[in-house]
Amino acid sequence: MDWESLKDRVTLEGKTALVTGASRPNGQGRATARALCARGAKVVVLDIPAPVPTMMEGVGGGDMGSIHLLEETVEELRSMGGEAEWVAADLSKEEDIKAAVRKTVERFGTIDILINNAAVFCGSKPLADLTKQDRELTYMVNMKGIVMLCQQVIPYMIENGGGSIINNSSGTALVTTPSLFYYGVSKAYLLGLTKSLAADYAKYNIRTNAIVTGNILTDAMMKEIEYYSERDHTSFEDAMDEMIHGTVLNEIGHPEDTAETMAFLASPAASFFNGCFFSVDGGDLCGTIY
Amino acid sequence: MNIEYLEKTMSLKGKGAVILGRCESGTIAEAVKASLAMRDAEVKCIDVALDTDFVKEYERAEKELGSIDILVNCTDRYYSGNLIGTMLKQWEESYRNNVEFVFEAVNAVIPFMKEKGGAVVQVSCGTYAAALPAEAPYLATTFANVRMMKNFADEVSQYKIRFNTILAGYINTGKSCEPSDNWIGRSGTLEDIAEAVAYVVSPAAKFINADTIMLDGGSRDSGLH
Repeated sequence: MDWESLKDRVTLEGKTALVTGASRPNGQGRATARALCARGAKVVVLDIPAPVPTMMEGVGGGDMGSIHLLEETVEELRSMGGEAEWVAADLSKEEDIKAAVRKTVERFGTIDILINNAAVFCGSKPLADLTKQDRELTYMVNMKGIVMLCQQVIPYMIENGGGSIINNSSGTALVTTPSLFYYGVSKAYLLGLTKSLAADYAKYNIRTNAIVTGNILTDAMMKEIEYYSERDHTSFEDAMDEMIHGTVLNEIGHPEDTAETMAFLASPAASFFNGCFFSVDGGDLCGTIY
Repeated sequence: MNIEYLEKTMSLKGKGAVILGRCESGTIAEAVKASLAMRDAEVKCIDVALDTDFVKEYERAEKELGSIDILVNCTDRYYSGNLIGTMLKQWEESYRNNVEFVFEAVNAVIPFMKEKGGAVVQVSCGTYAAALPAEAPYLATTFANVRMMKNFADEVSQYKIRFNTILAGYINTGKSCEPSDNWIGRSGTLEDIAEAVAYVVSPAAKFINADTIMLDGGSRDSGLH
């Protein structure tokens, strides 16, 4: 590899990244933190300090963060030779967000890269089973929480001459997916937010892009597959096979697939990407014209 | 930087890449060639015409490169004009160059990739979804191309060949599409496109397939993209 020519295109040295939802061992956030760290960024990982009681009966994201896992993530990044810190915050609470941003800036001076990865998933359920609590929690974390975090981070990016915001959306934003009604709504909201931030803040050299993910085998996805296997009285392996056979490439993605695209979008090589929705789904959206 | 980590995700060592288009200074093809070569791919440019025999060209390329793992089509041609003001001959030419030609070029490479898989990238102009005035013959072919890549992805998914389209906004080559306002406030560069192509064909992008990637600095014209 011609690193002399490539270095300026791929390096994130001197940059500070804040990655939300970044504690689980096989989670999207931790993989993204690794990808950014490998390119030389200083990384601050954020997650909730303890499981949210209201989520414990739900399926998937938002209920498994912990300080222990955050510490473990930081250790992993440091073992790669990187600089890393953790902050605990509940993204539904503005005071938590302010404190997390303040701590990040105190430690590393600014925030150049914001990865809005954290999300809650209140389980696969049809409209009739969707509770007000489900909707409220999804709104507070997946929508309002990201708005509040961007409000806190963007002024630092403006002051620092620019930045890169990457939002983790989902194919459920673009195609109607059975039983994922409100999750899809929240992820479509995030795409709209992506376009608006891309339009409003590009003049400050802040680029905003989104990833549209498909089936990625994170810890949250494993929990979801477990849920389907119990619900449908099938084995975990059969539920997994069914999911895989429904994909175009006949395979399921891994957190690294999305992580690498996020790191690419944050890099100098991607400096003309703004307002882009980058699908990482193995081609599962090929039935659409998007 | 953690070079060992990055080599695993970025290196194209052992990969043979064919670029369709004229590799000369100031072209997209040349910039893509440079970006792929930096990542250790073996690269061959083929300057093609409508009557190119792709099978023969790919056979030659395979001998030279060892294998064809990557195909990048940079031959997209821009046609301006509205519906009535554009002669039927130009509509025909736009179709032949930007649709039929692409089908033949991509379809012919599949047998060369079917054993080991591969990556095909179509580079087009990002007027897709923009519906700017007086671009009818081109816009129609761009939509057709996007659908074609997705249909290829679906039809031959068993071979693990990935098909993606990069839709570039105004790129300052002096002969690309018309300049348009974008949010980022600058034209794209050849390097912007080349690096996007290099990422999409890299091992790191192995789950990116049937994607339509808008590279335009952000614009209201890019619609859902």
